[in-house]
Parts: sequence; structure tokens; C-alpha cells
Amino acid sequence: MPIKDALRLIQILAPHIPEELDDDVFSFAGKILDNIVDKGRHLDYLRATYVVSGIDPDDLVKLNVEEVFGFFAKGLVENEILTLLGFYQELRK
Amino acid sequence: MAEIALGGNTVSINRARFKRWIELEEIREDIFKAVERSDVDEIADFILLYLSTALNIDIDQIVDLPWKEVATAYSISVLINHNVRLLPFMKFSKKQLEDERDVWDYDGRLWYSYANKIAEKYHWTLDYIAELEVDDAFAMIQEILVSDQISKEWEWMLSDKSVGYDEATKKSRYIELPRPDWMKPIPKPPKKVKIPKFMLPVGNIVRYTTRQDVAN
Repeated sequence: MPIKDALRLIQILAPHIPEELDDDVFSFAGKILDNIVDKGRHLDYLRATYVVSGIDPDDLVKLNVEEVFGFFAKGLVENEILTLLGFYQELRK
Repeated sequence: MAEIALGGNTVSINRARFKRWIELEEIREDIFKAVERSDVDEIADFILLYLSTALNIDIDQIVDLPWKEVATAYSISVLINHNVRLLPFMKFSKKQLEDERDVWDYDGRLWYSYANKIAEKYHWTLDYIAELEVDDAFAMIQEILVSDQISKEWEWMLSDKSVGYDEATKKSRYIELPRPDWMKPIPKPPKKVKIPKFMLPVGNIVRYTTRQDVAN
């Protein structure tokens, strides 16, 4: 993922990333999703999934829930979300 | 010098010479401003510009590279270029930092302003100044500033403005030309004075910590 998309992704997800880390990627992605849902920011989930998958939000809503979450979680793993968060926080210091 | 992997190639990163170093610092300032605005698109654009300037490569060659390669290369470039000797004249006061830009200011003026100072003093060409080592260039600039100040103080001393009249003593007194903050002596902590034992109070000492204690 190019730097511009990576920074867009982390800007969307940074407020939702839990402080406690989780070894299991899907569980960690689930906690991020829980935080998004708790704050009622469902659009952030769609925007983040769009950034990592390139699938238009209008098409994403037509897919089944597990499929969308699969794209979301895979995107976080492939783009090393925690390393990306560290870089983003370093920029903001 | 450091070597990094970028787009399948190994690229060497050296500390930039004077002109490029100033360009890099100005881009870093643009990155800080974009971060303050939380404008991630601009942050990314300026990171790519910083890297392309530091490595002397075209932005098109790095724009689509994986973010981690770009971020690593950027962090290493910043580390290599940021580590310069900090001289006293580089320490700006809070007021100086908050001051508005001069109306005759323009983007990239910092380089011309420094180059002008060095060229005026040493009569070197712009190309030669651009290739100076950063630490050497800044040490020379500080020496030029010190020498300018000393000359100004000499001229000031010879002018009638340097003499004032002291109402209290009914005598004339010398008025110093103010020096910039970075040339002023660093204040020393007050000297500790030991009180002889026989001057210390005797008996049971009650310590009051607040005004209320004293009132009671």
C-alpha cells in the first residue's frame, strides 16, 4: 500500500485501536471493529475496508458480513497496522 | 552514510550538503504544519518530496512503493540529516518563533539569506557555498554574526547615542548596544553562603510552612 493510502487508513483507524495488543490478528481486528461500533462510527469501518481492499463502499455493503470483515482484517495484517500506528504517532510528536 | 532498500534497489543515504540540507529542513517544517492540520494527503506528499530531495531521485519512482519502505527510508534520512551541531545562534527565543513572517519573505529565502551572508564575507560562489558541510556552514555564519555585532558595537561606541545622562548621579553614562539573546552570558545560579554555627538559632525550632500556621 502506498504511503498516501497508508496514512489515510491510520488516520481513520487511530482513534479506534485498543491500547492492549492482541497476538491473534482476527481478535485484534475484532476489537478495533467493536470500538468503531461502540462509537457509532460505522462509516469508518467502510472507509477503512475501502482503503485496504479498493472495493467501493456501495459494493462492500452488498457483500456478506464475514467477507467484508475478511477484507478488513487481511488489510490490517498485510499493512502491519501497529507498525503503521507507530510511524503515525512518531510523525505527530 | 546508510544504505536502504528502496523499490528493489539498494540506495545510499548521505548527509545533505548545505543548500540541500536547508531545503530538507524547510520540507520538514511543511510536514510539521501538515501534521498540525491533520492533512494526511499533504503529509504523504511532503514525505515523498523530502525523500526525493534527500536521495536525489524522482518522486514518480517512490510514490507507489510500499509505505513501510518509504517510511523507513524517510526515518533514516531524517536521522542522518537532523543530527547537526546546535550552535548558540540557532536557539531562537519564543518571541522570535512566534513573530510573523516579514512582508519581503518568500519560500526558500532561508538559503538565500545564509548564502548572502557567507558570499558577502568570503566572496565564494553560490555553487561552492551550496556544497559546504552543514556544520562548517553554520559555524561560519555564527562567526559572521559575532563579527558583525562586534563591529556594530564599535561604531555604536563612537556615536553620541552611546552616551546618556544619569539623573540620579548627575553624570554621563555609557549605554550599551543590546546584544542578541544568544550572545548574552548565561546567568549563573546564586552562590551558596554558609552561615556560621553561632549565628544559627538555638533551642527548639518550630517551622511554619504556611501563613495560617504563623497566624495561629
